[in-house]
Amino acid sequence: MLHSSSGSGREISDSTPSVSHGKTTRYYGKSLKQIAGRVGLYAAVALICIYSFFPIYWMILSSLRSPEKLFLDSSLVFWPPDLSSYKSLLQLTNYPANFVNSVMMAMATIAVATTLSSFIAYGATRLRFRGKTTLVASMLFAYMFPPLMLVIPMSALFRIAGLADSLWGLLIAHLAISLPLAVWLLWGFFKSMPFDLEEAAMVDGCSQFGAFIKVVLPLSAPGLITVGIFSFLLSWADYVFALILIMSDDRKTLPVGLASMLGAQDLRWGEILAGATLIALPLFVIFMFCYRYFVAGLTAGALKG
Amino acid sequence: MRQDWRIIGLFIGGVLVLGTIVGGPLLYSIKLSFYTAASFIDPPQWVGLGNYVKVLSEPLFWGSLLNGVTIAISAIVLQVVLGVTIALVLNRQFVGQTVVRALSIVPYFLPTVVACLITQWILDPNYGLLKSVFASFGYGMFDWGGNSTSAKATIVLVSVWIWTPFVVTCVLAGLQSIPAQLYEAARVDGAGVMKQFWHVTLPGLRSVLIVVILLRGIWMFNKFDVIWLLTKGGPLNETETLPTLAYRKAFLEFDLGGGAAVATISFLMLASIILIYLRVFPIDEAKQGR
Amino acid sequence: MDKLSLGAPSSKANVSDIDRRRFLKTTAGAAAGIAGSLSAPYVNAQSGVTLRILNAETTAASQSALRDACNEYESKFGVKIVVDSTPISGGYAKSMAAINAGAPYDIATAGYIAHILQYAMAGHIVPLTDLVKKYSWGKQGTWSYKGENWFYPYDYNLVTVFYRKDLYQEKGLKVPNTWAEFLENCRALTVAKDGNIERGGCVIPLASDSATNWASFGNLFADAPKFYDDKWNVVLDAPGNAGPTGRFLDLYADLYKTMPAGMNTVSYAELMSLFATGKVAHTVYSGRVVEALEARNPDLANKYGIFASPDSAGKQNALSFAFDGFILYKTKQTEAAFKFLQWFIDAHYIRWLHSAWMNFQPARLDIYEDPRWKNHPMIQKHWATMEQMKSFIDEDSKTVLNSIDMTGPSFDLRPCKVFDANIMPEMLQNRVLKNMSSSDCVKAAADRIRKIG
Repeated sequence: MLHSSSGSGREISDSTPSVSHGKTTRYYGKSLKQIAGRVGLYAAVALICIYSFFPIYWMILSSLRSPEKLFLDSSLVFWPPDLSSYKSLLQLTNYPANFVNSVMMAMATIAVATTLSSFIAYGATRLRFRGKTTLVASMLFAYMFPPLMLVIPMSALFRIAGLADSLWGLLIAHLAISLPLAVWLLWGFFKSMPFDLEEAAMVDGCSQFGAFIKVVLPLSAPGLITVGIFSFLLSWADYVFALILIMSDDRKTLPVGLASMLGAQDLRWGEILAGATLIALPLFVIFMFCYRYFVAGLTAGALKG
Repeated sequence: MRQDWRIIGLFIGGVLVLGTIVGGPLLYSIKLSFYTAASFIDPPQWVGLGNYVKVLSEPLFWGSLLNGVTIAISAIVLQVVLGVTIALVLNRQFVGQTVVRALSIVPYFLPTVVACLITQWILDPNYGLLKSVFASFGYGMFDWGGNSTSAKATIVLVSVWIWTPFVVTCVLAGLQSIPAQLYEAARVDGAGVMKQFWHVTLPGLRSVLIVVILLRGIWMFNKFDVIWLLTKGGPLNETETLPTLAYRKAFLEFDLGGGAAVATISFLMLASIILIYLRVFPIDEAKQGR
Repeated sequence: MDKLSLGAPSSKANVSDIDRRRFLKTTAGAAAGIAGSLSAPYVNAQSGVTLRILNAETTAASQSALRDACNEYESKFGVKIVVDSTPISGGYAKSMAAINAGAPYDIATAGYIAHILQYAMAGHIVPLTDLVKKYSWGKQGTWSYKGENWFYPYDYNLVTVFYRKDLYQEKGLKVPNTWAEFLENCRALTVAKDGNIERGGCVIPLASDSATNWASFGNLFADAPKFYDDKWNVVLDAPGNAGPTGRFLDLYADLYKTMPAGMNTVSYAELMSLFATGKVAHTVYSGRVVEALEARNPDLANKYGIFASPDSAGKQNALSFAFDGFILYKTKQTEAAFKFLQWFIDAHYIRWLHSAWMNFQPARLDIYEDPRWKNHPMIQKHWATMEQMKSFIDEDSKTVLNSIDMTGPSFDLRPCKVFDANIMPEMLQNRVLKNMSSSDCVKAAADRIRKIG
């Protein structure tokens, strides 16, 4: 499925020259109907853009309004930006600490999930054993679990294991939701990778393990990046597990810290929207650079629940 | 090929870790559902099927099930219709196609919390943007949290906004796999745009759509965060679903056994659906379907 | 060496049994402590101890006041204190989650008797009778259970009705003495345009949460229907009680028509912000509204007034209310927590009260005479309001003080369950969201109260 996405990417770049190519010839032959179709298409495209991005724009815009204007102003311009919501967010709330926690969780989830899933997925495609299909099917199963089915027993088990209210416990939870997905993704990737390459390396005297490290993994970089990105997303966006497993202020992650601002005695929409923008910001940056891996993961049935 | 013991070792290790952190809680949850445990400190008491009997005899359970199904089905229908429409538009050639395609999937990657906060901000009955927009057209703002229909509709619309890009992306990939010759043949036969859609596009997307519908349906049914963040199950339990009910029981009413029972029941229902799904679409073919 | 008494010389005089017992225990602990921290500059009994506080006062000022106090305590006595915060609406769930996980907090701020009583009955908290007995308190301020006081209040949260004096003047209205007059005033001040309520007559919350339990039933209490008889039979739907309760629901339904949209999601914060932004002419809340006005809309801070909720006949008025106070959980460190609380009360109580100068309406009567507290410029500015608020808690006050969790012949778990199950808020919802008849709503509520026992 990675191929299909790079295929679509290719097609996009192919399409641009073809449009400019045919321009002169096409314009003459264009009937009124075709022009109307063209206008309709661009109108639909504009509508899709507004639908997809306007709410996000509105969040960013509102976070940049001064507190006096926030509740009254509904203009679409944010200039001049007012950073007071951001300032008070950083000063008055635990946001910086929450940010650090979220980053730690995400990094650890990426590292462990990518490593473990590559072991499992590689074994599942290359080793000969009974019940392979069952194993892979159970991955599909596992990432369809109701989250509450995992978190209720986890809250009890972590208590017994001394992991209550601990980021280690939360890491385990994040792994439990990201590992099945990661294995599923990489399984598809390794399966479509020709066996000849490793066999050639092994003929040259490499062990299977050596071939895995030296040949398979480097060639799987796109798949690993996709897995990394989706592990990051699952951990970064998680609300349910952090809500239930974490108690202390200094261990909260961003989504929970942010949501708990809503129930407070003072209404802090400015700070809430500033915080929401700051959660989304790293995602936008990664998204811009890794767009094609996002698409690859999505079409692989890869999914944040 | 000779099997390398290191590969075997790492594989088994990985499977064990995965099995422990996913399978362990799963089994423990089933075990908990047979006990009453108000807290984690007191020893739990065996009650057999007591929790199940109690849960299944509550009207709230059945109401929640119905709410969950209603919300999931409405969200799926809208996501698919909207997703296919958007995909068909984005599949045409136009200037800036790449950028627009990228823009259209941004909502999917937004953390749910952020999406829900944006919604609440825009829908705020007194300060929200929508209120200003309505007022400028001379209409009154509706009270979205005030009745069953509008509260459910809000949850559905937010879910549709977040998760439609998944449908769009899968359908776009699916569209690529439909051979151009089919369209040409249809055109030769004199089929118009609508006919081409019904007789070529939709059949070509069949396998993709079935997978998408099942996956999204299951996730919608499991959704906790959107509902909890938007309505907390209100008003008057009209948006209570099995996940929020399980949460309420386990963590607000301190009835771990009851919560585990609700979660287990919804898991069993889903598991049977997934099993049917795997029977109809064996896993290898399902993957090729994309 | 017993640092706890340093700040409180006055308390030495009446060391009670409990104090003495505690003293003995800590002496034993002290020996270990000294051995463990020879290099410590202070000889103290508690080094190495970390106390955990759950704080539901989440405004920036209150959080920093508490943090400062904790830092000072740590530097003086070497006791580390970790403060976790929770929105007030989630305080009970969080406390219970910590208890159920076997790691209760040591100290918490708690608002509702419903919850404090549940902790006390389940043996989760320790009595603070000796601390409480040192002072005299306002009306109902020292409620006890099994002869002990279970929390150390710092404020009353009386739910008064805030109204706009300027608007009253404009329309020639007067402070209402009956339900009908209140409704008339709300109607007169409602401004609707294009189907939107531009300015609501009032806001009285409706959501299934503690805010509604706390703030929405002043008018009901003024008419004083009984929820239970003397033997704890539910009589809310019996003749004599069903009538006034049903009429109260009709009143609410009429008032509801003057409220802005979104009552079902209105909670603590919105009750204030709607009034402070001029979106409603009346709101129900405690003194924090004044703080919100000063912070957001200083102009309005000179134009508000308060009154107690009237009854239907103009005979008496009532306030729904709650306290806020400190509770001590039963932990291995209760002694250390007790010392901290004692120190905090002696050294920081007033600074704490000042962190929410109007909302923290003192429950301890001596504070009203204390110049350190009284001289706060904002309290001075709003002294008239503060005096009015105090008049409600004087022993000879005729204003009824009541709360959902305190109804019934004595303090008991039963009304607490009514509170936690949101039965009364849902009675309102049945009336205005489902359009059930008032008598059916009352009947349904009474049945639910019977059912939860």
